[in-house]
Amino acid sequence: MDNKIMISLNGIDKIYRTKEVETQALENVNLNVKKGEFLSIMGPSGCGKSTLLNIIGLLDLPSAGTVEIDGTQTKGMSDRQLAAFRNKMIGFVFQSFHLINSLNVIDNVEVPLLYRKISSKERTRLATEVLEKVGLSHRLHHMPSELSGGQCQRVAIARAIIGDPEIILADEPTGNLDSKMGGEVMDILHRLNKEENRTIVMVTHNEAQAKQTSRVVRFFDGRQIV
Amino acid sequence: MRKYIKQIWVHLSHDPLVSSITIIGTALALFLIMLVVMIEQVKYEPFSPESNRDRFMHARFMSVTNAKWGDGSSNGPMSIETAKALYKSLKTPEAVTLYANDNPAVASVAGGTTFVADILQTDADFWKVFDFDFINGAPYGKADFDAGIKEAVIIKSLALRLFGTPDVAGREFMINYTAYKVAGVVKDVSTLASKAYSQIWIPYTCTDVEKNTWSRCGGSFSTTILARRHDDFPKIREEYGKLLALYNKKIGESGWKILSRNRPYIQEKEAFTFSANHEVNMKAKHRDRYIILIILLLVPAINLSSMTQSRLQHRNAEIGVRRSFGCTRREILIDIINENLIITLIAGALGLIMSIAFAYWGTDILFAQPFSNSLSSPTIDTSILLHASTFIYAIVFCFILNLLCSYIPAWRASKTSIINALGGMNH
Repeated sequence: MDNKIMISLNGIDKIYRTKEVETQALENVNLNVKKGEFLSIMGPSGCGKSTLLNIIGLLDLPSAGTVEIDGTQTKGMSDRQLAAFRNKMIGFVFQSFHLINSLNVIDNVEVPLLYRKISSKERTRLATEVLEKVGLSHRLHHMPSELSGGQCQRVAIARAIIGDPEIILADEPTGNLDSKMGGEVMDILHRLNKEENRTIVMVTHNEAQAKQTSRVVRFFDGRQIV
Repeated sequence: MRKYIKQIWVHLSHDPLVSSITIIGTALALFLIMLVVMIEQVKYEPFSPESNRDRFMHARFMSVTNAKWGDGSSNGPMSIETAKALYKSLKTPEAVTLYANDNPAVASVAGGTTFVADILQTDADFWKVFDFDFINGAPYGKADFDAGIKEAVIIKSLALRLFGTPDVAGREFMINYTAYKVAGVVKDVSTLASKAYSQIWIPYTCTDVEKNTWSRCGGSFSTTILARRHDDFPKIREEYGKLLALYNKKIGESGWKILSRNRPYIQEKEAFTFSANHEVNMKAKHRDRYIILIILLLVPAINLSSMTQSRLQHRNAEIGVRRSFGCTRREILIDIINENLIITLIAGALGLIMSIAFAYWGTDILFAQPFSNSLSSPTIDTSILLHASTFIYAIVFCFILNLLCSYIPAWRASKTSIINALGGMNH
């Protein structure tokens, strides 16, 4: 971990509005994450953890405040700029894997590279390489429905890192896995953090897993309490 | 492309019923549209023996008025004098043929059965303007035509009925109980080749059709002009204008005047001309055609659009994932439209095959006009139905139908927020 700030959130508010109700999901969140840091976000359900992760990942826009990633101000970016920025800088690991059922393992992993000017041959080479890294080189042409939950999550991690992003955002990556498989997934994430110095922000309910990370921040009712 | 096809296959096999309805619905839409296109195309696309339709100009009728008639006019085929003065004298075209339709003739050989057959009386240039496929013998030439020798060109099926063989050049048979010699035998001609069609062709100089006149300029003759090039049409019209002025000056002495009605007509305009005293409005015809095609495209497109929407709802989460990893809204839109295009093209090919098959088996329903005088059904083959433009039309309609039925669902899918899209994930 070095001292360079990779993610900087300043005064983030998120308010969901309907005709009748206004719900404040996040209130004045200020958070800095250093390059190479492995940060856990904890808190009860509905406290705004996933909303915060979505805002960091540029999947959602804050109602107020700014998000800076690797020194770049993201406010005012167009859809195209945001897409390019996500593609280059951020890899996502979702609780429910979010693999594309109609694609096999290697094609799923290649998805982020489809939006870069990379040849099909090179995409396949890189996908094979990252699948080897997560221990799935023997499952390249299997369909997601033919894999266990742990294997699906490892495919999802391979997909998250194939584009060599600085940041990995993981939303309860072990939430749908048993403890053994969850442990394997956490091992991979720790390896990516330690060996490749990737910045990881993980939402989790698991205290034990959170304790193994560099820092834990806790949320309650949309506010950061620790 | 491989990925598109792979994905489409997986998505289609996910819900076979909806997928089948989508493909069949699209195919039926294209089938109907292509039938309309084919019905139109046979009227103006080239096929033997009217392979030069793009260089044809026609004057089936003339319109004549008299100073005593006020606004009245007499309309119909031309007298031989008028046809020669206005058309046969043209120097710009490659060839000009005059021909006269007649009532069906009775054809027979001595001691044999009689057959009713369509007959057309022509000049020798007829064989230059139209490209018949001679199986045996040759057309009658100018010398025989000028001499009024009783010769005939007949179609193969008539030769077979009369003689039992198509190799009958030089043999005699009877037309309306008058002896004629077979000059040549040609492959059967479809009634859809409305100018060249007949079953027997004879020189008009061997009948008294030239004597048939009415209203000074009316008679039995029509003409087809073969321009050297498509671009020659204005020059031909200009020359025709001069001939018309000269002729009107001549007949004007006795109060007669030929009304131009912008004749001669190009193939397409001629195909839509049904009456002698009315010039067809091609702009209105084109507008009507576009309206019909738009309706034929819109009605299925609305239904197919809702099916596309339904299929896309199953893919919301996939769209969310793609966007999370760097896909833009525009790329989502294009991907969905492209995927749908492949389905539409497959269904379009199916629709085109269905329309061709229907055109073969439903000839009497589709091509009821033009009738032959002997009420022969039109014969159809691939050279008549399939042209480069047929495939271009099919592809263009596939593109349009695809855009109509996929654009709005694709646009809506691309506008869904990533978070909402991811929320639709089932896996």
